[in-house]
Amino acid sequence: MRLAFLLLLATSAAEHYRRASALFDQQKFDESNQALDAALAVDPGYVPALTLKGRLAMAFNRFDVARLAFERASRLAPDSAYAQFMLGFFYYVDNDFMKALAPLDRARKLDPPDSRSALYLAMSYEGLAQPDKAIGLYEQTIEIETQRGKPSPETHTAYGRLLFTLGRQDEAVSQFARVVELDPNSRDGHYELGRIEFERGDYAEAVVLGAKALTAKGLGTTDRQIHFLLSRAYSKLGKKDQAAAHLKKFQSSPATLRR
Amino acid sequence: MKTVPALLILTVAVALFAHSFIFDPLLSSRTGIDFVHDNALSARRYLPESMGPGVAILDFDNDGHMDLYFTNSGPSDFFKPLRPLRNALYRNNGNGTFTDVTLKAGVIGRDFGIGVSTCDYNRDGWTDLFVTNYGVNVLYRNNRDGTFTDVTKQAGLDAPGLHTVAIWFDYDRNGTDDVFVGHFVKYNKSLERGCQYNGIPHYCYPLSYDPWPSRLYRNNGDGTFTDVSEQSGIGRHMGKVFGAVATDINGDDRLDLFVANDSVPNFLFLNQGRTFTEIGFDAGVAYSADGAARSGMGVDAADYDGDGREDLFVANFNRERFSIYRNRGDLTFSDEAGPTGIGTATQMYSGWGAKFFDFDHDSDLDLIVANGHPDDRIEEISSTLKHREPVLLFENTGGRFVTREVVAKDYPARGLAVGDLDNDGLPDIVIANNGESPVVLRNRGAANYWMGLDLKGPATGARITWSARRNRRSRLKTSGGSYLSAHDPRELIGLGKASKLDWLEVRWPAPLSRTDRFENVAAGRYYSFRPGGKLE
Repeated sequence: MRLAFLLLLATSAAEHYRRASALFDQQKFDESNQALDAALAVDPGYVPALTLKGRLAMAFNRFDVARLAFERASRLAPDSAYAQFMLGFFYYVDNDFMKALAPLDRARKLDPPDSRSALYLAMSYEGLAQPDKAIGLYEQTIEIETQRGKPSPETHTAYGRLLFTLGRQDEAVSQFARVVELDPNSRDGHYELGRIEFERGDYAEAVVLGAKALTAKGLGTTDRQIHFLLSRAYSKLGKKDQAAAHLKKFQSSPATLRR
Repeated sequence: MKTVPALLILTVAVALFAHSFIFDPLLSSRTGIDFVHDNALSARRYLPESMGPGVAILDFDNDGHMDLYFTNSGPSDFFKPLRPLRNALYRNNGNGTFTDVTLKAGVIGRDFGIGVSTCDYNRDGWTDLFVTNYGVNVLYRNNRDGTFTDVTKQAGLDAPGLHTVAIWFDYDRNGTDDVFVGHFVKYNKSLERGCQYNGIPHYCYPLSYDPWPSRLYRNNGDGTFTDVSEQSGIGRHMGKVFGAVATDINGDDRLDLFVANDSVPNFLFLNQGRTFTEIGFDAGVAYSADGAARSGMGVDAADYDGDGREDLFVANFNRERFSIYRNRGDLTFSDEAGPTGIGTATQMYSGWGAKFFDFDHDSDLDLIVANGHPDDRIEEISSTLKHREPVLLFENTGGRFVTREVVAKDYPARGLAVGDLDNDGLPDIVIANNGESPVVLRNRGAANYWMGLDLKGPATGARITWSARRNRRSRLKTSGGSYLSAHDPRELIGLGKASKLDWLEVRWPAPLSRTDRFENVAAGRYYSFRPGGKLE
């Protein structure tokens, strides 16, 4: 035991961390966690290890562990944009939007070209029912991404969804059209455009777009959501058999968490 | 130099004073309403603790002044009160004060009190009380002498359960009010899930519990009721009912039933005469636009956009946004939460009691919602959410609702009832708070004309139509709505700048199906009348 402990100390925290990071990338999470613990045993204030520890804990739904790791990392490295971003991101995922604002804003100021901070800040303001601030930040995010030549369908999807919930359908359509332009096989894009066509009463087009969404790949929109859209659209078109088939699939799918 | 601070103070003072709220909270020392709800708070956090209480505004002694009734917790399989608990009936003394007459009236309740509704199930012209419980509900028959008799068992309404709302309406149009009794989840102490966060008990999200059917009882007209849940179709649907409202969504003069469920789809029961067809999915009111069942709690129905069709409202859980469903006229609805501004304004809140009403008598219908997060420990795990939440008043500005400040304080609100407690023609608000005293909010006034209508007789389902300055408007007398609560049965009609009605019509529901019409009706007072009678 004593020898193992001395060996552990003989390796630097950075080395343990590098090993943990590699194991994390290989999805060897238990081993990665052990390496992180080793890194933190050598240097409890080693920020990269703390942030990775937080990410790992989030992946395993241990938000209590993640919170401690991110908060500590943020305190130890107030000038690290990444540490600030991860803390804000954690609060956002934990639905604590109020707490997410400060670290995300710090991260944005520390690293302006990184669009992620602006994006999550936008979504946090959206979660706090402050759409005007959210819209400004979505616009900023899109501007940064455009300047960097890396436009993101996900950003346009999130922005379009906000506009849709505000009843600003035409602006939402522009965003979703951009999503499909960037990724012609976007499940989110086709689904959201289908939803809007349904609301506008063009049920045939809603069916076309819903069917495209169903065959497209993507993690954001679930099959259940698409079956819900298709069932209602077919029902409006008087196609009872198709409507019933999609209703059955909708009802047998796991409930969506999106509300 | 001395004048500068003085001016500054004066400016600040004027600014503070100028920040006026629409309602004044009345202190219990002034009203005499000393009721405090005991929510039976336990270390384990049993679900029913978070549900109540309800409040009713009623005139139990027919003296023309609105009285108040509050429900309270009581003995159950998970709660043994250390001191006797009881519901409370307060008689309105007509001078701004109330007297507790619960014991004399004999309406202390039994079991674990949740909600309350009012009715006149025996059509004798005196208001009866129905208390929903975790346990066996109570039907109190009004003895017409200031007392009540518990007639639950002989009426056949003594089925046990975890009940929430009771909606009295004449679904079969035979002239007597039947009753829908909403049931929440399948529940007893052994079924409590015992949810924890970081090892600390919190109330479980209702998704954790199994749904259960509600009941419909037909009024036999002889003081008894027959359970028609199965034959009517109502009992075939498993729900988790919090709120319900009887309204007519398709203008066929039959009262339909809209039911808000928590964590399972809402129901819209279309009245087919003697049976109901559940059309919530096709109507677009069962799920969110993404196909998610939300946490429907408080509800209401009214024609908020003046197109002659009954629209629907549902108060949901925080992050879900509340729903305001515009009736498209083809048995479908569109959720207008986005365009109306209701969605963004309600995103942070969990809504319960709710009511469309015209708070300023400008002749369109505004909306009030009482809110409160059900988890009393929410602030331990979130800096974004609060246990106490504001009362939201949405002023109808023609297509959009603008949030107005009701009162400075936030509350852990549940039940909400609207009524004119001082007969000044202005609707006041009573909010029943979970684990606290209720709050009475007195309307500070409006510079518009009004008229009050007290329909004597089978009023639910009546259609009131009027013209003022040649503007024709209409209102359906619905039943239920809000959450666990009952409103003032009188209808207050805002007239804007019109000092009189050109004409007033009331079309009584079947089996009467008659219309009474009156010309040149003066504003500024209450009228009552019976079918075929005169305005008095």
